[in-house]
Amino acid sequence: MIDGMVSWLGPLLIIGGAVLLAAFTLAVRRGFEPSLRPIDGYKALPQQVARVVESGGRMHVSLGPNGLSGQDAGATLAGLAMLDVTVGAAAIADHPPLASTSDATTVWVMSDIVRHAYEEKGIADRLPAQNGFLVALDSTALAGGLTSLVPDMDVQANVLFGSFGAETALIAEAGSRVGIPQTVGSDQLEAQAAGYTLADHVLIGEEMFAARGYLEERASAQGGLLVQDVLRWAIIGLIVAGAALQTLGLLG
Amino acid sequence: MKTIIPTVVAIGAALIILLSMFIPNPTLFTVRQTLVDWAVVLAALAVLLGVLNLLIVHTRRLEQGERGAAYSLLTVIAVVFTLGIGVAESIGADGPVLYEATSMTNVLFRGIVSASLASLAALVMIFLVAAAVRLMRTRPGGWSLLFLGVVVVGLVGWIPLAALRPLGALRDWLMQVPAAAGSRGILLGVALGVLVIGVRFLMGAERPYTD
Repeated sequence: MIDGMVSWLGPLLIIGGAVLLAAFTLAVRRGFEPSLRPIDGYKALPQQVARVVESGGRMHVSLGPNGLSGQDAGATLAGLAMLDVTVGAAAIADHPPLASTSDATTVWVMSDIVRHAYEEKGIADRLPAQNGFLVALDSTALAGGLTSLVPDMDVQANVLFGSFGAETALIAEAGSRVGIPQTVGSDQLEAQAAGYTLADHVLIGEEMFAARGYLEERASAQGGLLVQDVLRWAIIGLIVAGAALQTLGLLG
Repeated sequence: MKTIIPTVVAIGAALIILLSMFIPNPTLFTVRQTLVDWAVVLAALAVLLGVLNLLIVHTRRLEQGERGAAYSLLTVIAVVFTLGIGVAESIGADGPVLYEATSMTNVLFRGIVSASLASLAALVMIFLVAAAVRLMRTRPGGWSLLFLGVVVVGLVGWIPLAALRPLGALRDWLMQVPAAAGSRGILLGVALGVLVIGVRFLMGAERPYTD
């Protein structure tokens, strides 16, 4: 019975998620205001962008080693959303923001997002020739490269947002040596632990996927947060029900 | 139109691949295979362009005499040298030689790339422990103390001394019960986040491509 349920769980979650997303997006558009719990990392981000603009330095957003295909594509999409939001805000700074990755497919999408942000602000003439950096082709080498890029390029705020692992410690250590505010968001537990010790703000678990919902007032993004909440409660319910049934010996 | 076409292509491709995962249909599978093959070719081209991008960035840094330009020079030389050796050896052997222990490419990879990455990875451990200790100065409090305590128990618990056996048992319990429960909770959250961002992509609400 359980095996049969598991094979249907994927399509059920996707279809159910899509229906819920459409419903919640519509509700938000019609005036429903979801109450969002405060997340320090997102609360501090506008201040970090302001610091970059005032200091005349740069904002650095690294999307890590993850690409557009494979199991970590979700982290890439979350990172690209974060890049879109931060670059849009930091484009008015004296120096262009830096975007880095160690995945060859992500670097082109990243460059496109930076270009789009400049065009939307009407400052396409200030668009740097090089706006996405493929620092290396490996996550540890990326971390090694960023340890020199962060101090050398006058980075004033550091955002690491991707499928980073324990190598986050190398990058965040470089950032803390120059005393800049840092935010770490990763889908890997090792990076979350490293971020907790070295960064100012760390996004835990699903928090890294909530960037648009917290930083933009887009109905579909806020609808997405509500879907996450509903599904979280559904999973909690399933876990409790499963534990109860197992305890009572009803699962066989 | 500039926005509609990429959206339709992206959502269409994603739907075909998704459906082929759940519906065992040979036509869907063939289309999926073709799309995946195209993606592989594009990814390979992207790597080539990425290497070019790397060379352009560092050449520009050299031209402008930016801080750390010496490292850029080293990078450019290393890329050109490694690429040259790899191409020459592959042409000579009529195939890739990276995994042949006697090839120069393999020696370069094992002797420089693997060794450098291993030393960087070793540094991670030192930075993490130092950061955990520094946490008590930068963010003193109960949570930091708990974190540092667990790090100490985790590290000392590995020492194979009979006198430290209770700490080893405590470390095992910490890993198997609270750490496993916490990490499963976080991973469930990550899975939910991935699911929702995937659904947003499928519905055209998340568009990393612009026009």
